[in-house]
Amino acid sequence: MISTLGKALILASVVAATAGAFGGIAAGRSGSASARRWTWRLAYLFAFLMLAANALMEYALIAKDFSISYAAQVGSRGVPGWVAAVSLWSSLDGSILFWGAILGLFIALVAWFNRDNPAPSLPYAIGTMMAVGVFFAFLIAGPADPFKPVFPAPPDGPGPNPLLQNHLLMVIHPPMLYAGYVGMVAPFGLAVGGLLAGSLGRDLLKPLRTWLLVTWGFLTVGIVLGGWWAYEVLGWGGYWAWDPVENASLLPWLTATAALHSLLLVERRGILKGWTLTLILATFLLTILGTFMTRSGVFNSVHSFSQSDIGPTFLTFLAMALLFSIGLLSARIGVMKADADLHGGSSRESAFLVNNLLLVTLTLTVLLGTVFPLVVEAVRGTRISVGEPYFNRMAVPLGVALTFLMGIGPALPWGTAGLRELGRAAISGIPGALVFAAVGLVNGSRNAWLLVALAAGGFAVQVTLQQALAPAFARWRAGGENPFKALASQLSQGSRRMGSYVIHLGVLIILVAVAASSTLRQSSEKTLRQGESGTVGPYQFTFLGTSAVDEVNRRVEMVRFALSKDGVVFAEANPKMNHYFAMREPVGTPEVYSLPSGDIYLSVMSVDQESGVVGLRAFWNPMVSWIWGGAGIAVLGAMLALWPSRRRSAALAAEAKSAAAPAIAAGEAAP
Amino acid sequence: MNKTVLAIGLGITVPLIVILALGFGKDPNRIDSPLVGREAPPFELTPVGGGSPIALASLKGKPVVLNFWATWCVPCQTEHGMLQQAAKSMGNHIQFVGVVYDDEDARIQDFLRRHGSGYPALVDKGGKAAIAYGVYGVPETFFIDPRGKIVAKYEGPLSAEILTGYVQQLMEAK
Amino acid sequence: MRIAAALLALLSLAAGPAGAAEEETLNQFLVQQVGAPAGRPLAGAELEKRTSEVASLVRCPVCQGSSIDESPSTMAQNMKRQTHELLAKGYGEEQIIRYFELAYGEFIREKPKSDGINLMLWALPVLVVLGGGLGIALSLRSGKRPEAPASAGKAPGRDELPESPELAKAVLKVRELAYGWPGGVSPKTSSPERS
Repeated sequence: MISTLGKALILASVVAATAGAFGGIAAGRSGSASARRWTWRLAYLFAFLMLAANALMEYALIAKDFSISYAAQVGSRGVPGWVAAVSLWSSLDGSILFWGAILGLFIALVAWFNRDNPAPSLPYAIGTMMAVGVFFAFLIAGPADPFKPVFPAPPDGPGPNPLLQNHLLMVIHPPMLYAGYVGMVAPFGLAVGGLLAGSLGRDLLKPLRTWLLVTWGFLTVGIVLGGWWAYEVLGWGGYWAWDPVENASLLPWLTATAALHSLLLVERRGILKGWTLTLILATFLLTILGTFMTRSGVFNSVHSFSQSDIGPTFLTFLAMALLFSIGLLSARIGVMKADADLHGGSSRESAFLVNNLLLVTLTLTVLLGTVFPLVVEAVRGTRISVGEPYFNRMAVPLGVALTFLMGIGPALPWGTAGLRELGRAAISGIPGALVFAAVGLVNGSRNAWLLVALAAGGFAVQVTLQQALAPAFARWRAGGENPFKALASQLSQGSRRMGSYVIHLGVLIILVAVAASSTLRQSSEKTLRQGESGTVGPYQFTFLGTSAVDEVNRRVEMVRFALSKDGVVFAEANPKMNHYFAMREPVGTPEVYSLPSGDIYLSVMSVDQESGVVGLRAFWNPMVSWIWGGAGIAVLGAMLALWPSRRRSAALAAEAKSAAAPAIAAGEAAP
Repeated sequence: MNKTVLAIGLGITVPLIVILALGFGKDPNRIDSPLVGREAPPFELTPVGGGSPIALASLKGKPVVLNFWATWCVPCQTEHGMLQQAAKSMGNHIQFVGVVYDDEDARIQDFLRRHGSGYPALVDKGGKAAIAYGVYGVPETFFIDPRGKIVAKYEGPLSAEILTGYVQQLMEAK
Repeated sequence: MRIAAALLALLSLAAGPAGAAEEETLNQFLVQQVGAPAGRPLAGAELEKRTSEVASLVRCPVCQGSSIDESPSTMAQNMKRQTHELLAKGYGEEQIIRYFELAYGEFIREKPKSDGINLMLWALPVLVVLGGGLGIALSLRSGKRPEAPASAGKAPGRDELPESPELAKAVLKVRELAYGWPGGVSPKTSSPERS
């Protein structure tokens, strides 16, 4: 019954998406209002069908209806309700169904918010997104069908992977990452629409920026939560390992970041249109590549789903999307004429160009390193690894250069800068740079790269704060307004600028924390008897004893430690060892004790019952919690930048009413 | 039609697609041993329960079937009986040697008492012999010819047919 | 049981190798494979530090993607312990990695060798940065040229307004909308704030 209904919903969504794709293209070509209306309706219908199919699967999972193949595959009578609910995205077929729901939601939202947008590119945009919808709906209908009937229904199932069951982060990390991946369909569709319609006006640039930024925010949260989950669960003391699947999520983030910046040049100066659209298309294609990497079984990774046969289907889709994008770009990029020339060697524009160059180089480097083992195997027949040392060697200089650019760029004026302005920009953040480097030196950092990174970070933090607060500061000085009121009125007038500086601040915090935690980290491996202690970083840990609890599917062994500094105990930490009855090797759960200066990270390697000896790895990871905080700040910044300001929304309303001056195309907007 | 865009785009993406397509059908976790065709790493290990150490060098002149195993490994148990029988019937021509990996003496002795032992079981404390042979997991079996060269390596539990095939290869290599 | 075995191995490490003969065979094999120790024997804190550094360059063969420095698996732990021993005997980083490579294959190297096709890995990113940098420099330079004959009057400068008053009003309005400048006039002229 559920199986049939689910299949029907999915088949209907294939039909809706196909009709919508054709409708959108037809409406774009003919400009017909009724074709447009029908395309919009089909977009809402597609979203509804996908959401209904997901709700149905949720019902099967929670009701433990094992006559549905996916519920039988991941369900288990023994797991609590919330685990059953989130196991929708714990395995391949379900995650693709869930993917379809997010896709539908994004398409419907873009359609809804632009229902009155007159841009000729919009019908094309919605049609393109629906064409992507056809592929995913087809995938759910055929190769990754989660609604296959199982007869006879098994009495019980194995339950989801234990590693995915033991942390709450696993509940929110995948949806965030999926939204960050799937959402890129919106900027992609809009960019394709722009290319097909041959225009990139203000009414297209606005939704383009909005949806790129929204999805960028989700992707940022998804990536950071993934690192956080690995850190809290996997027990090797780190959060990022340059694993193929991690790289796959970083690639679209890098190009999306580059596109957000070059989009600003399109909006303000009317230059780099073709390049920006290329970046946006590349971002979407990289999300598809990333999905392929996770699900094809071609890459060797901790995160990859088990071997599956949807790989070839995905690769075909990727190849088609790539060829389409390249063909479209080469055919239509000539239409996207720049409205102005680039000039001035040291303006903020050139800082944006260098930013794009560095981000794209980083993208290509990470991509190269990730697929290189496959290249070598194809050419020489031997298998090699490209691991952390390579990526660190390449990414660190690029990262430091980007950090420095985040300082010097905002300090540069638009247009052409004279030598004096350049000089002023180059020294503007020096106090910040000196302070950060000094703090590093005082705390025992002797690593040259770290000191350079700290100096660049300090430079950028100072310039960012100055630039963000300058208008409020000026008001306060000039008008005697109280500083908070000055800040509030600044925000009400243009939160977008402020938002972007807040994002910068968050990213800078992340960069500095990553630099510090990866170079100043200390570790110690110990075997301890009861009462013995060890030292890691500035803290001591004393082994107090163990206690075990039996659960349904595992025995949890808690190893208790007292944490102390200079002999004063201030906390207890309890890393665990989980003995799953179905597995030989026990799985540890580390304990992370976070302090503002860093984390004390204890991970149990072994527990010997007879001798009472525990094997322990302890890490002192400086500043790690700042990474999570920095990500939070960056997301707040993105929300701020998306918040419609009073002035702008009022102006937009006025603009809509009086069918504005003919010069409102973004190209001319740049003075 | 912008030819530059077309050329750069295709230049990046076509090789990428080809490389990804070539990656199918290959298990990314499977790597051929670089040791096949080379001289077998020498070892000198003590048999379980003590006694004088046995060296690979002392076995020269006879083909060797070198089996890495452990009591905690289920596939090792399934192949154990077959290997005992094979050692009994082929023992005159071929020397069977077991190396026990990551295990305890008491458990090994108990296992051998229950399942039989027809050839030496050497203990590899610290896993150095396993590392020298590039062992990934147990069971893994190496086939070494009389001059001490590795002719073949097999990962996973052996069946009688597979073993016979490799033994024939060994005898021919003579 | 696995734990006990690991502990036993640890203890045997502390108490010295299981047998002199075993040790001797292995030493000969090592010298045959990678030559006599190339460096000086390490001890103490330096030994611990180098162990971790060298181990982070060796990929764990049984775990996916992590180095033997990080992985908790028995195999990785054994290999790390052997790295420790070899460093204490004076073997160099490259010798140790080479020893593991001979047994497991090139795959064991976390940092790929820089020869043959692998050079691409190191060279391509550098080429992209250099090529892109050159491209930006050229486009900035070529962008400057048409600006020189400003008297041609086709491209107004950034703060200039078109002559037609209607168009000028539209531009000011657009500037106000786009930048939030009151009246469309850049605050740069009145206050030190930029952008």
